[in-house]
Amino acid sequence: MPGPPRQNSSLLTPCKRSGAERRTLWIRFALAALAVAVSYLFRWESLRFLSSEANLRLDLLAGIHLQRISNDTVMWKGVLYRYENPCTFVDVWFGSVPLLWNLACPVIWNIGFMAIVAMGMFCFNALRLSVSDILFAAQVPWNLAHNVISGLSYFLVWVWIWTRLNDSYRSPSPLDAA
Amino acid sequence: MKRLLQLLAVLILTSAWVMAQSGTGTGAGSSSGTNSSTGSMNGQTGNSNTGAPGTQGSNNGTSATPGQSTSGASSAGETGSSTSGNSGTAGTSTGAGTTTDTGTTNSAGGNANANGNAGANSNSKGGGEIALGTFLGLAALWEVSRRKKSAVRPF
Repeated sequence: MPGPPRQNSSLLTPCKRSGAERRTLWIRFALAALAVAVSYLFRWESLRFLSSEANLRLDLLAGIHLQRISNDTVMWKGVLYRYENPCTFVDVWFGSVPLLWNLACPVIWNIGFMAIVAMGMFCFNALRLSVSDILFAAQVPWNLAHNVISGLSYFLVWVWIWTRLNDSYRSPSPLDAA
Repeated sequence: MKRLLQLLAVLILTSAWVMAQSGTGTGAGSSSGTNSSTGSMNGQTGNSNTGAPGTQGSNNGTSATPGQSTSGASSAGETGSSTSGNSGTAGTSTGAGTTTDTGTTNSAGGNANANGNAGANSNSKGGGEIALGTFLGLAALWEVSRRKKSAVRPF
Protein backbone atom coordinates (compact mmCIF):
# COMPACT_ATOMS: atom_id res chain seq x y z
CA MET A 1 0.00 0.00 0.00
CA PRO A 2 1.54 3.29 -1.02
CA GLY A 3 2.21 5.82 1.67
CA PRO A 4 0.80 9.29 1.76
CA PRO A 5 2.12 11.83 -0.70
CA ARG A 6 5.41 13.31 0.23
CA GLN A 7 4.25 16.89 0.25
CA ASN A 8 1.46 16.15 2.67
CA SER A 9 3.72 14.25 4.98
CA SER A 10 6.19 17.10 5.01
CA LEU A 11 3.44 19.48 5.96
CA LEU A 12 1.91 17.32 8.64
CA THR A 13 5.09 16.11 10.20
CA PRO A 14 6.95 18.72 12.14
CA CYS A 15 10.49 18.96 10.92
CA LYS A 16 12.82 17.64 13.57
CA ARG A 17 16.42 18.35 12.83
CA SER A 18 19.38 17.05 14.65
CA GLY A 19 21.95 19.38 16.10
CA ALA A 20 24.31 18.76 13.22
CA GLU A 21 21.60 19.54 10.70
CA ARG A 22 20.74 22.71 12.51
CA ARG A 23 24.36 23.79 12.49
CA THR A 24 24.59 23.02 8.80
CA LEU A 25 21.48 25.07 8.19
CA TRP A 26 22.96 28.04 10.02
CA ILE A 27 26.15 27.79 8.02
CA ARG A 28 24.09 27.67 4.85
CA PHE A 29 22.22 30.83 5.82
CA ALA A 30 25.42 32.64 6.74
CA LEU A 31 26.96 31.64 3.43
CA ALA A 32 23.82 32.71 1.62
CA ALA A 33 24.04 36.18 3.16
CA LEU A 34 27.68 36.35 2.23
CA ALA A 35 26.95 35.20 -1.30
CA VAL A 36 24.30 37.88 -1.74
CA ALA A 37 26.75 40.51 -0.55
CA VAL A 38 29.40 39.18 -2.92
CA SER A 39 26.98 39.37 -5.83
CA TYR A 40 26.69 43.10 -5.28
CA LEU A 41 30.41 43.59 -5.66
CA PHE A 42 29.98 43.28 -9.38
CA ARG A 43 27.92 45.27 -11.82
CA TRP A 44 26.73 42.42 -14.05
CA GLU A 45 26.54 44.64 -17.11
CA SER A 46 26.02 41.78 -19.53
CA LEU A 47 23.34 40.22 -17.41
CA ARG A 48 21.59 43.55 -17.12
CA PHE A 49 21.57 43.86 -20.86
CA LEU A 50 20.31 40.30 -21.29
CA SER A 51 17.58 40.79 -18.70
CA SER A 52 16.48 44.05 -20.23
CA GLU A 53 16.52 42.51 -23.68
CA ALA A 54 14.42 39.56 -22.58
CA ASN A 55 12.03 41.91 -20.81
CA LEU A 56 11.88 44.15 -23.85
CA ARG A 57 11.04 41.30 -26.19
CA LEU A 58 8.47 39.78 -23.88
CA ASP A 59 6.85 43.19 -23.51
CA LEU A 60 6.78 43.49 -27.27
CA LEU A 61 4.72 40.31 -27.41
CA ALA A 62 2.31 41.92 -24.99
CA GLY A 63 2.10 45.03 -27.12
CA ILE A 64 4.27 47.21 -24.90
CA HIS A 65 6.97 48.96 -26.84
CA LEU A 66 9.96 49.79 -24.70
CA GLN A 67 12.66 51.89 -26.25
CA ARG A 68 16.25 50.99 -25.48
CA ILE A 69 18.29 53.97 -24.34
CA SER A 70 21.47 52.30 -23.19
CA ASN A 71 22.84 48.97 -22.13
CA ASP A 72 20.68 48.83 -19.03
CA THR A 73 18.15 51.57 -19.53
CA VAL A 74 14.90 51.59 -21.43
CA MET A 75 12.28 54.22 -21.88
CA TRP A 76 8.54 53.87 -21.92
CA LYS A 77 6.18 56.81 -22.35
CA GLY A 78 8.90 59.26 -21.53
CA VAL A 79 9.97 57.56 -18.33
CA LEU A 80 13.37 55.94 -17.94
CA TYR A 81 13.64 52.50 -16.42
CA ARG A 82 17.00 51.31 -15.27
CA TYR A 83 17.92 47.68 -14.73
CA GLU A 84 20.02 47.19 -11.65
CA ASN A 85 21.40 44.12 -9.95
CA PRO A 86 18.14 43.08 -8.25
CA CYS A 87 16.41 43.31 -11.62
CA THR A 88 18.54 40.47 -12.88
CA PHE A 89 17.85 38.10 -9.97
CA VAL A 90 21.59 37.59 -9.71
CA ASP A 91 21.44 38.23 -5.98
CA VAL A 92 18.71 35.64 -5.59
CA TRP A 93 20.74 33.08 -7.48
CA PHE A 94 23.86 33.78 -5.45
CA GLY A 95 21.93 33.48 -2.23
CA SER A 96 20.33 30.25 -3.33
CA VAL A 97 23.61 28.49 -4.08
CA PRO A 98 24.50 27.71 -0.44
CA LEU A 99 20.91 26.75 0.28
CA LEU A 100 20.48 24.47 -2.70
CA TRP A 101 23.93 22.92 -2.70
CA ASN A 102 23.46 19.23 -2.01
CA LEU A 103 26.32 17.89 0.04
CA ALA A 104 25.35 14.32 -0.74
CA CYS A 105 25.89 14.85 -4.47
CA PRO A 106 29.08 15.32 -6.45
CA VAL A 107 30.28 18.81 -7.21
CA ILE A 108 29.66 18.41 -10.91
CA TRP A 109 26.04 17.47 -10.22
CA ASN A 110 25.61 20.59 -8.09
CA ILE A 111 27.21 22.80 -10.72
CA GLY A 112 24.90 21.41 -13.37
CA PHE A 113 21.92 21.84 -11.11
CA MET A 114 22.82 25.43 -10.30
CA ALA A 115 23.26 26.14 -13.99
CA ILE A 116 19.73 24.89 -14.59
CA VAL A 117 18.51 26.97 -11.67
CA ALA A 118 20.24 30.01 -13.18
CA MET A 119 18.44 29.54 -16.46
CA GLY A 120 15.15 28.96 -14.70
CA MET A 121 15.60 32.08 -12.60
CA PHE A 122 16.50 34.12 -15.65
CA CYS A 123 13.28 33.09 -17.38
CA PHE A 124 11.24 33.58 -14.23
CA ASN A 125 12.76 37.02 -13.74
CA ALA A 126 12.02 38.10 -17.30
CA LEU A 127 8.48 36.88 -16.83
CA ARG A 128 7.95 38.80 -13.60
CA LEU A 129 9.38 41.98 -15.15
CA SER A 130 7.00 41.68 -18.04
CA VAL A 131 4.05 40.90 -15.81
CA SER A 132 4.80 44.02 -13.83
CA ASP A 133 5.08 46.01 -17.04
CA ILE A 134 1.75 44.70 -18.25
CA LEU A 135 0.12 45.59 -14.94
CA PHE A 136 1.71 49.03 -15.03
CA ALA A 137 0.48 49.54 -18.56
CA ALA A 138 -2.98 48.67 -17.30
CA GLN A 139 -2.84 51.72 -14.99
CA VAL A 140 -1.89 49.77 -11.89
CA PRO A 141 0.33 51.96 -9.69
CA TRP A 142 4.06 51.31 -9.98
CA ASN A 143 4.44 50.26 -6.36
CA LEU A 144 1.80 47.62 -6.75
CA ALA A 145 2.63 46.58 -10.28
CA HIS A 146 6.34 46.31 -9.79
CA ASN A 147 7.40 46.34 -6.17
CA VAL A 148 4.69 44.10 -4.79
CA ILE A 149 5.12 41.73 -7.72
CA SER A 150 8.85 41.69 -6.98
CA GLY A 151 8.19 40.78 -3.36
CA LEU A 152 5.81 38.06 -4.47
CA SER A 153 8.45 36.71 -6.83
CA TYR A 154 11.06 36.62 -4.10
CA PHE A 155 8.58 34.81 -1.89
CA LEU A 156 7.84 32.17 -4.53
CA VAL A 157 11.54 31.54 -4.98
CA TRP A 158 11.95 31.32 -1.22
CA VAL A 159 9.15 28.77 -0.91
CA TRP A 160 10.74 26.66 -3.62
CA ILE A 161 14.18 26.86 -2.01
CA TRP A 162 12.86 26.08 1.44
CA THR A 163 10.81 23.13 0.24
CA ARG A 164 13.78 21.75 -1.63
CA LEU A 165 16.04 22.29 1.35
CA ASN A 166 13.65 20.36 3.58
CA ASP A 167 13.44 17.60 1.02
CA SER A 168 17.20 17.35 0.86
CA TYR A 169 17.26 16.66 4.59
CA ARG A 170 14.72 13.88 4.21
CA SER A 171 16.28 12.21 1.20
CA PRO A 172 19.85 13.44 1.02
CA SER A 173 20.71 12.45 -2.53
CA PRO A 174 18.42 12.76 -5.55
CA LEU A 175 20.84 10.47 -7.32
CA ASP A 176 19.73 7.61 -5.06
CA ALA A 177 16.11 8.25 -5.93
CA ALA A 178 16.99 8.20 -9.62
CA MET B 1 12.79 27.82 19.25
CA LYS B 2 13.32 26.24 15.87
CA ARG B 3 10.80 28.57 14.28
CA LEU B 4 12.48 31.49 15.89
CA LEU B 5 15.77 30.43 14.41
CA GLN B 6 14.17 30.14 11.01
CA LEU B 7 12.68 33.58 11.35
CA LEU B 8 16.05 34.97 12.36
CA ALA B 9 17.64 33.34 9.36
CA VAL B 10 15.08 34.98 7.11
CA LEU B 11 15.76 38.32 8.73
CA ILE B 12 19.51 37.92 8.28
CA LEU B 13 19.07 37.10 4.64
CA THR B 14 16.76 39.99 4.00
CA SER B 15 18.94 42.44 5.87
CA ALA B 16 21.93 41.31 3.85
CA TRP B 17 19.88 41.88 0.77
CA VAL B 18 18.92 45.35 1.88
CA MET B 19 22.49 46.20 2.75
CA ALA B 20 23.75 44.99 -0.56
CA GLN B 21 21.06 46.92 -2.32
CA SER B 22 21.92 50.14 -0.56
CA GLY B 23 25.53 49.51 -1.39
CA THR B 24 24.79 49.68 -5.05
CA GLY B 25 22.67 52.75 -4.77
CA THR B 26 24.56 55.36 -6.66
CA GLY B 27 22.79 58.37 -5.42
CA ALA B 28 24.11 61.79 -4.76
CA GLY B 29 26.60 62.17 -2.02
CA SER B 30 27.93 65.33 -0.55
CA SER B 31 30.74 66.13 1.76
CA SER B 32 31.70 69.39 3.13
CA GLY B 33 34.49 70.28 5.40
CA THR B 34 36.72 73.04 6.52
CA ASN B 35 40.43 72.74 6.60
CA SER B 36 42.18 75.35 8.54
CA SER B 37 45.81 75.43 9.34
CA THR B 38 47.60 78.06 11.18
CA GLY B 39 51.30 77.85 11.05
CA SER B 40 54.24 79.74 12.24
CA MET B 41 55.49 82.30 9.89
CA ASN B 42 58.60 81.93 7.98
CA GLY B 43 59.63 85.41 7.55
CA GLN B 44 61.49 85.04 4.34
CA THR B 45 61.59 88.60 3.40
CA GLY B 46 62.36 89.67 -0.03
CA ASN B 47 60.70 86.87 -1.83
CA SER B 48 57.55 88.41 -2.81
CA ASN B 49 55.04 86.34 -4.66
CA THR B 50 52.45 88.58 -5.97
CA GLY B 51 49.21 87.29 -7.12
CA ALA B 52 49.97 83.66 -6.50
CA PRO B 53 46.76 81.91 -5.86
CA GLY B 54 46.32 79.90 -2.80
CA THR B 55 47.17 76.32 -3.21
CA GLN B 56 44.91 73.50 -2.55
CA GLY B 57 44.31 72.37 0.94
CA SER B 58 44.96 68.87 1.96
CA ASN B 59 42.53 66.06 1.94
CA ASN B 60 41.02 64.40 4.94
CA GLY B 61 42.29 66.97 7.30
CA THR B 62 45.65 65.40 7.71
CA SER B 63 48.04 68.18 7.08
CA ALA B 64 47.71 71.43 5.38
CA THR B 65 50.11 72.27 2.67
CA PRO B 66 51.53 75.65 3.19
CA GLY B 67 49.66 78.48 1.73
CA GLN B 68 51.20 80.98 -0.56
CA SER B 69 51.11 84.58 0.18
CA THR B 70 49.32 86.64 -2.34
CA SER B 71 51.02 89.85 -1.68
CA GLY B 72 53.73 91.36 0.27
CA ALA B 73 56.39 89.44 2.00
CA SER B 74 56.44 85.79 1.41
CA SER B 75 55.25 83.73 4.19
CA ALA B 76 54.15 80.23 4.38
CA GLY B 77 52.67 78.30 7.15
CA GLU B 78 55.27 75.60 7.16
CA THR B 79 54.15 73.90 10.25
CA GLY B 80 50.49 74.10 9.77
CA SER B 81 48.34 71.52 11.35
CA SER B 82 44.94 70.74 10.14
CA THR B 83 42.22 70.84 12.68
CA SER B 84 39.23 69.41 11.00
CA GLY B 85 37.50 68.95 7.77
CA ASN B 86 37.22 66.44 5.07
CA SER B 87 38.31 67.65 1.78
CA GLY B 88 39.09 71.12 0.89
CA THR B 89 39.53 71.58 -2.76
CA ALA B 90 39.91 75.23 -3.30
CA GLY B 91 42.54 76.71 -1.17
CA THR B 92 42.85 80.36 -0.46
CA SER B 93 45.73 82.00 1.21
CA THR B 94 45.06 84.81 3.50
CA GLY B 95 48.32 86.43 4.00
CA ALA B 96 50.69 85.72 6.77
CA GLY B 97 51.06 82.10 7.39
CA THR B 98 47.45 81.33 7.80
CA THR B 99 45.85 79.08 5.38
CA THR B 100 42.20 78.47 5.47
CA ASP B 101 40.68 76.07 3.10
CA THR B 102 37.05 75.71 2.89
CA GLY B 103 36.01 73.00 0.60
CA THR B 104 32.64 71.74 -0.26
CA THR B 105 32.42 68.79 -2.48
CA ASN B 106 29.17 67.70 -3.87
CA SER B 107 29.30 64.62 -5.94
CA ALA B 108 26.22 63.66 -7.74
CA GLY B 109 26.36 60.00 -8.34
CA GLY B 110 24.63 57.95 -10.90
CA ASN B 111 21.10 57.98 -11.95
CA ALA B 112 19.31 55.77 -9.58
CA ASN B 113 19.33 55.50 -5.87
CA ALA B 114 18.46 52.49 -3.80
CA ASN B 115 14.82 53.24 -4.05
CA GLY B 116 15.06 53.31 -7.72
CA ASN B 117 14.19 56.90 -8.19
CA ALA B 118 16.63 58.89 -10.15
CA GLY B 119 15.48 62.34 -10.72
CA ALA B 120 12.02 63.02 -11.82
CA ASN B 121 11.51 60.63 -14.65
CA SER B 122 13.23 57.41 -13.85
CA ASN B 123 12.30 54.17 -12.20
CA SER B 124 14.45 51.31 -11.18
CA LYS B 125 13.48 47.82 -12.10
CA GLY B 126 14.75 46.68 -8.74
CA GLY B 127 12.58 45.85 -5.79
CA GLY B 128 12.93 48.30 -2.95
CA GLU B 129 11.41 48.43 0.49
CA ILE B 130 7.92 47.59 -0.69
CA ALA B 131 9.18 44.40 -2.28
CA LEU B 132 11.00 43.54 0.90
CA GLY B 133 7.93 44.24 2.99
CA THR B 134 5.80 42.11 0.69
CA PHE B 135 8.29 39.30 0.86
CA LEU B 136 8.53 39.42 4.65
CA GLY B 137 4.77 39.62 5.04
CA LEU B 138 4.15 36.67 2.75
CA ALA B 139 6.92 34.68 4.40
CA ALA B 140 5.44 35.34 7.83
CA LEU B 141 1.95 34.34 6.66
CA TRP B 142 3.36 31.21 5.08
CA GLU B 143 5.21 30.31 8.25
CA VAL B 144 2.10 30.78 10.37
CA SER B 145 0.09 28.71 7.93
CA ARG B 146 2.65 25.92 7.99
CA ARG B 147 2.74 25.99 11.75
CA LYS B 148 -1.02 25.67 11.96
CA LYS B 149 -1.04 22.80 9.51
CA SER B 150 1.71 20.93 11.28
CA ALA B 151 0.16 21.32 14.70
CA VAL B 152 -1.39 18.16 16.12
CA ARG B 153 -4.98 18.85 16.96
CA PRO B 154 -6.63 16.78 19.69
CA PHE B 155 -10.02 15.25 19.02
